[in-house]
Amino acid sequence: MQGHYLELYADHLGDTIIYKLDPRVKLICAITAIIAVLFTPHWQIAMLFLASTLIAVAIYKIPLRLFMRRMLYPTYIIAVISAIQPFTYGATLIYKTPLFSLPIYLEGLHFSFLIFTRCMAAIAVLNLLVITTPVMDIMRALAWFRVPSVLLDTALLMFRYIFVLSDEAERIHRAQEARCGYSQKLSYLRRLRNFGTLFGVLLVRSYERAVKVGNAMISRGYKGERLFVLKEAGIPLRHVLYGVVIFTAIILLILIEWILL
Amino acid sequence: MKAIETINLSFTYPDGTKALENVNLTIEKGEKVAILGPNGAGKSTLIYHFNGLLMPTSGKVKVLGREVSKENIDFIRQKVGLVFQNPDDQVFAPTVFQDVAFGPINLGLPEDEVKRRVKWALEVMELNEVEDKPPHRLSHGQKKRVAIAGVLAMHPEIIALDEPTANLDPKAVSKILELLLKLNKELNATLIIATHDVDFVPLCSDKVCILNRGELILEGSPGEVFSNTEKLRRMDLRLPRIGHLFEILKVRDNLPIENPLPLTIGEARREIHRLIKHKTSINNDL
Repeated sequence: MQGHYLELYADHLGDTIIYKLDPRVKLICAITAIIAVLFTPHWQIAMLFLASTLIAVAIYKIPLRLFMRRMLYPTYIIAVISAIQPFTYGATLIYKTPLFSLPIYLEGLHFSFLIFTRCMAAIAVLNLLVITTPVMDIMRALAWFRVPSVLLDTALLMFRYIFVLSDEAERIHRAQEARCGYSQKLSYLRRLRNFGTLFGVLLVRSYERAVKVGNAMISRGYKGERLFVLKEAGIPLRHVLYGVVIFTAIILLILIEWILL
Repeated sequence: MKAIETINLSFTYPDGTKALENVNLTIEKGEKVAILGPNGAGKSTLIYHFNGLLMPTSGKVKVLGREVSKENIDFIRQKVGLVFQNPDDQVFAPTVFQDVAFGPINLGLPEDEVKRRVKWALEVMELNEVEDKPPHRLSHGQKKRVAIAGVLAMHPEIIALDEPTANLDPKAVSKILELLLKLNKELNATLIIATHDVDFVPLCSDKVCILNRGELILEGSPGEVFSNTEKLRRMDLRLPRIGHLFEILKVRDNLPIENPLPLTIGEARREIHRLIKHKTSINNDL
């Protein structure tokens, strides 16, 4: 098993309020923050959210390595998207690249930075939510907000089988490596092809497993209705108050931004 | 009362592979039956019929006197719990509790009853401590027990297990054996165990059915079945190690071993004691 990377939350947080806060409150606050961040026209506001998240990470001693590692893959995608912007948008030319003489525009550059900070802040908020909340709690909260059960069932099955699949991928990869499947003597294309085979095999095995899991479900009387019953108890008043405070703070920030900036 | 009865049961897979041919088998309520056979003998195919997961190409399968059909499939699936070989194929929910609750919820039971049954099944399988854990944090043996708890919570009268000892370490095998025997003794559950683990068979069963190439070849108590050594070897099976040892002592060393051959440690111990007493009495006579 691949352990901590796929282990989706830091469950040592124990008694801290960020861990114990009702998941519904966390979800509402996180979604409000993400929406606020994604629509802000000012990179400073996005940076403010990003900084607040990092402060929370520091205060609650969330393993920074885990936090950063989980930020890594989305950052790649955002970086690529942001990097294209300066070439595609704007009127004020500031530079032309010597190679291919590509134009770089000032407005594009600004926009690129804005997109980058917005996305990073949004992902940091989401990351904080996921790291401090067990998956089942998030799912229960989503069910409470009437998210269709088919989406939640699918998400929970994915959560269950991502570990099985990653184990399977690791076993196949090891089996290939053991017979020199990724030897440096092989051409890059050959190694790439072996990697492709891994995914092909994984796909076939996933299909086979899906059939078996389906059979096992049928044998326990499953007839196609919802898979999981997710119920949530009442929200403690104190948590609602925390939620109201955070929610109001975000809304106030947006209002101040509209009026002053 | 008959728990399971198959009458001329034949099954052919859609690709034309004949998996079962004219299987006539009767399993009484409360019995512990091992279905033994080499790989590809049709063991899994046979037990899938008991739960209505596969329907016969020809012939009949009766569960507790009722013929398995689409009309009474809910009854059948409640009465016959099927435990699959790989627990990862069966235990699909994000927590142990939710997985065990899956069957009772499908039975349409009220919430309190579902909870009560889950707690009970987890207690029987000694899994209380892991009820909130996600399955990927469990050992293979624990996952296997979760899979059994998942069918147990449906209160089946018959539990059919496909290769219950596959991929388990010795300690986990002992635990599974202990729990299965408990289910049989205390809850009077009929156990049907499909396996090719020859050494496990005399420990877990009081009746053995040998399946080969889809046909039922031998049927009887472990002692009776394992006395057909030649037949077993022709089917790529063998005697349990202890039985094999006593066969050698009898055939090669001419020791006066009684039939049927001892197959378990307990039987072997009794036989050795008998042999020692036998020898002492001869010496005394001399």
